[in-house]
Amino acid sequence: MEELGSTNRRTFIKSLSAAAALFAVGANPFAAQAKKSITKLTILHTNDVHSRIDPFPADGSRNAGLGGVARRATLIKQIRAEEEHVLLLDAGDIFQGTPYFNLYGGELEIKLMSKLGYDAATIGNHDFDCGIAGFEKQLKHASFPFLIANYDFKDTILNGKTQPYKVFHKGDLKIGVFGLGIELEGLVEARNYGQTQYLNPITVANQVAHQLKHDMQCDLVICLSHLGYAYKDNKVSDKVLADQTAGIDLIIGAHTHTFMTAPEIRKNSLGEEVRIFQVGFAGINLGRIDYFFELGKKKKQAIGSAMRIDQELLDDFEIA
Amino acid sequence: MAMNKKYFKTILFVLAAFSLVACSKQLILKETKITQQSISEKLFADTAIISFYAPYKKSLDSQMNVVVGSSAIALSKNSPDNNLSIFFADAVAAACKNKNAIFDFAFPTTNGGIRNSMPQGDWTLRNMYELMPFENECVLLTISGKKINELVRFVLSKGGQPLAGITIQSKPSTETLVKIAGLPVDTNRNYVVLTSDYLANGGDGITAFANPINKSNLNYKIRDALIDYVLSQKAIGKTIKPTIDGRIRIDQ
Repeated sequence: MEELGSTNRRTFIKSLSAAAALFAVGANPFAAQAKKSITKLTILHTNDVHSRIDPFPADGSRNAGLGGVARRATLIKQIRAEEEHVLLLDAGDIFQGTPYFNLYGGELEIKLMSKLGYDAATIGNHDFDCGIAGFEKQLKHASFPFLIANYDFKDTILNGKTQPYKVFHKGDLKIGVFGLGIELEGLVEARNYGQTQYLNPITVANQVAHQLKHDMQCDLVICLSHLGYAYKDNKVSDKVLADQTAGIDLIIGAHTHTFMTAPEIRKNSLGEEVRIFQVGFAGINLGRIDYFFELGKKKKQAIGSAMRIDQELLDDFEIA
Repeated sequence: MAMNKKYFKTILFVLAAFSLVACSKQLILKETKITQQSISEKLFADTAIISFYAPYKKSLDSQMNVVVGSSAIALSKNSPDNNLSIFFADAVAAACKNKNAIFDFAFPTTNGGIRNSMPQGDWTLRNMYELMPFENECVLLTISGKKINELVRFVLSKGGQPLAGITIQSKPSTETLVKIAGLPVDTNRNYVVLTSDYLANGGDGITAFANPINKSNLNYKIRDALIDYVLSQKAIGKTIKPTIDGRIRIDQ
């Protein structure tokens, strides 16, 4: 009995470690040390969902059958079940585009985002479409903060109801997230944004990113940007933002409804890498970025990089 | 449980750590993996979410599934002749004329203001809302003939815009030919343009509408004008079919 018992135990332990190894191999390339030193962070993001709650109807149009908040919920739930550290973010233009917004004023969009467990969002130009008062009215339904660093709302009813950034703690990681909005004049009717002051996004981004990265020692700094991916003229865009700032690791973009198949990697004002990613519009896609952090000594230089040039499937600058 | 690989567009990036200063023990970014998943019918709809918004949907459907007309063809601003932009301009112009508005030409939206394509076959109220979700109203602006050139430059800089009652022929070597109601532009007279309050207020960067000689709001929503036009066609047994007439021609 004794003999048999120990054999069984050994067999059991053997198969257990084999299973653990198998699991670890499947999990990530740094599996051998996964337990000890690798922290994985998963960023999920949407932009320009534009009140698209139901999927596009199957009417033969370009996006027929795509999108849908209930399907997005399933996917997010699955990912949360698989991953320990997840942040779910939105880069603005939550409102406007289907009669859900005309009939319910954005209440349903915000309630659903809260149910899906969004961690933060920024404000897009169309989020002003029922005026500042219309936006403010829906804030009570939000279980997540609106992050916007370059709109000064002090003379409006939104004063104190948004915040420039938020620092998230995931395991040992500190992630700083801040938001930037597009210039409102000429884009949004003056009566809808009222006394909102638009501040230079480059200046503000440099200040906030420095604060997050250096003063607050964030391991990762993410900008939720509604500036737009790129323009033909010299209007400030995510490309300009990437080039003229320091401290941002990732720009989650919006406004231009750009379908990027891969993020664009650019060099910031200090020559460090910044990624720009945007996933179209209407909740057709969910963007996902997995970061793998390892405990170790910081190095002064990047070891190298393999990058891929992004490709824009659609560059519909005018639709936003 | 696992994502179907076919639908999991995975792009793996193996990247080195970002350049960082200092040398204390801390978390270093070793790798970034970027993926994007299409939200399609391959994903089950979350039943809790579906039932949460079912009351909103039910009420919306009962109001929005009403058929207001039908189209012989699918309309899109991505079609070669931008048939949707032609439909939009002509429909708003016709509906406002029907309300006894008097104007020389119409510029009721920019292309950016056209928010969805329209299917072949029946059009519902929902289609109309998704085409024109904004609450903007029709406005008549009286502007000097001298402003027409500025307006035309704006239209050309955008590669064309939804217009009715005005034609623009642009060629690189010769002067741009502009006609309003079939006649060359007279810079000594004023013109009345039908537009939206959004554009009248300088939306999308239009400068030609600033400081108009006269401005009157028709208190008539652009969307209602579109709906009225579609209903009027249905009433006489017609399907929607835009008139492709080459009203804007830009030769590079």
